[in-house]
Amino acid sequence: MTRASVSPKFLFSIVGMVFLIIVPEIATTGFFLHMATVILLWTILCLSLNVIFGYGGQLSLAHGGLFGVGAYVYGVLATKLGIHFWLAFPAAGIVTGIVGLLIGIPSLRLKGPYFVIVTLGFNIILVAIIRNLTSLTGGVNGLVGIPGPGIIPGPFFALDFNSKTSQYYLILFFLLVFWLVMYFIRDSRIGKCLAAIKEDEDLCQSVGINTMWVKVQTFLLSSILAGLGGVLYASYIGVLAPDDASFHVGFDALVYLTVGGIGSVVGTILGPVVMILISEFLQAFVEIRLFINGLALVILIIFMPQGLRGGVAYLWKRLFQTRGNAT
Amino acid sequence: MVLRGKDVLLTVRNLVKEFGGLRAINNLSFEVNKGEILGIIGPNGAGKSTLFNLLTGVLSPTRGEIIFDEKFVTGLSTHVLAQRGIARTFQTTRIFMDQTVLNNVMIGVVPKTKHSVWNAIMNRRKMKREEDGLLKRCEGVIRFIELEEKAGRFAGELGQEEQKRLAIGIAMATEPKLLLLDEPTGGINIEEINHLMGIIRKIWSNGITICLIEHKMKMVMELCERIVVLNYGTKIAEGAPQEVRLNEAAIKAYLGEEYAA
Repeated sequence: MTRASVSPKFLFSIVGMVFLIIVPEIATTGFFLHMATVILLWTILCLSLNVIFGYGGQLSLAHGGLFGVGAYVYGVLATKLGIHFWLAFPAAGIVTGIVGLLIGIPSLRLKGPYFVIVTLGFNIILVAIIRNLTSLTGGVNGLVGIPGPGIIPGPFFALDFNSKTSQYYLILFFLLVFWLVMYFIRDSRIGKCLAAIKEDEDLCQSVGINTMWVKVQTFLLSSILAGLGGVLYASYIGVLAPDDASFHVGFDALVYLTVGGIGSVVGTILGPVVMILISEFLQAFVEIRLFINGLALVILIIFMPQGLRGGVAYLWKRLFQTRGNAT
Repeated sequence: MVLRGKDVLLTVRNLVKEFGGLRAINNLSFEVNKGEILGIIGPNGAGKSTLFNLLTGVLSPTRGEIIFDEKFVTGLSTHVLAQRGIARTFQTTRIFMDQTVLNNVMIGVVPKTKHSVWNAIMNRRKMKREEDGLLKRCEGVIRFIELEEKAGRFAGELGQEEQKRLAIGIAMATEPKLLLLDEPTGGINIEEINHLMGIIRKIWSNGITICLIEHKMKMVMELCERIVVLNYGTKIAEGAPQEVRLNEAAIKAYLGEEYAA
């Protein structure tokens, strides 16, 4: 092609970004905005999973638990100790990071299915702890009355995060930051190491990469991102139950990520958008909802093995680039 | 034969490796001198690949010691040994098939540079500035293995022999002192073997010490200055190619009892 063309990727990102920013404006009902916020929260969890699984090839099923740890740490700090969101937010990130290290260091020594099963086991342990630490977490009764981010006092103006719209923007802001972090990782030398480890860990070691160290660092980052996502979730929803830390949460994130496209940036949001919308549209058909949901998943994965990200790229190529290739 | 001084780079002393009741390496001792090409030959199951796995820390020896570059390295992990200067290729060609030739070589360069999550996020500028130097090193390696026209291609698209060259390139990118080649010419045709031998000679003339496992006698005899013959994990002969060729134990191990003179 002779004329300077804008890459479709860039075009999509801009359109998508603009759409994400104007969502509260075009949201006619509170429910619509709620759905959008929930989708963003899922996107954060998918993104954290993508760092360790999409880039590093290590399928962690502990991410539901890590998400829950972040959420509960914030919940407990905010309700029991009255600590402000902006202090509890980093604190929860640090705690989740430590938990992530405790899980990652033993389990990352294992490979393939063994790693998957051990992380699943850790998730079950985390839920058991949350369920039994009744004095702090409220046990099976859950934790209620978790405050939102509230107001940040400032010298000239205060930022008020009490409305649903402002919470949406807060979550969107963090999502963008986390996306940037994820992009930085992919783009960096550690991203190259991760891609290499995903393909052949022994070969990586034989050239001198300390694969364990690379994986532990990445798992730590991934845990922190999941935990911070949990904090945002807890501060938005306001109530927590042990099920919020269940491995089902991590499983759902895995399904969304697979549908969106493992290892891609845009896939982390495409998956949650499509799967959550399908599931919502099917609310009217209670009897067959799960069946249709499962069927949709199977069809998507069979026809788009690379996820929606791969599917869209393929269609785009078929539709618009045949001429470009011919010349 | 060129003699290049007698500095020893690698010493293996009384090395033993047992798998359960099986003794794969039995009281093995030998030395590799700086700057030489040493051939390691022996029938299938003689313990050649096990020896390489011991030297690179993939396996840890049951007994015995390995001294590399005047330091004890017995039991160190693979990546540490690679950082110290032991690089290897594998018997089955192992490269990163889903990545470009350039990225493959880059993985060999990265370990000695900073590559942490922290740097990826906080020191992006500095990392990017270093990138030019790294790319230049990669390009040098790719030119060395004569794949410059395919630098942007995916490794999986390359031919057999090109993949073998790339595997050597990844190892060379780590700037090793000792290069262990496990059957570098397995499964490729005569012309390609000659090409590959040329590249191995080029590596050797750059001052890198080479240890080579090979089945093709002609190649070993042409290339190596010294040969160690293994059988059942034991060294049965050692010496210059001409000597080994006439060694009774070596002939017996390879050709059977009746051929021994």
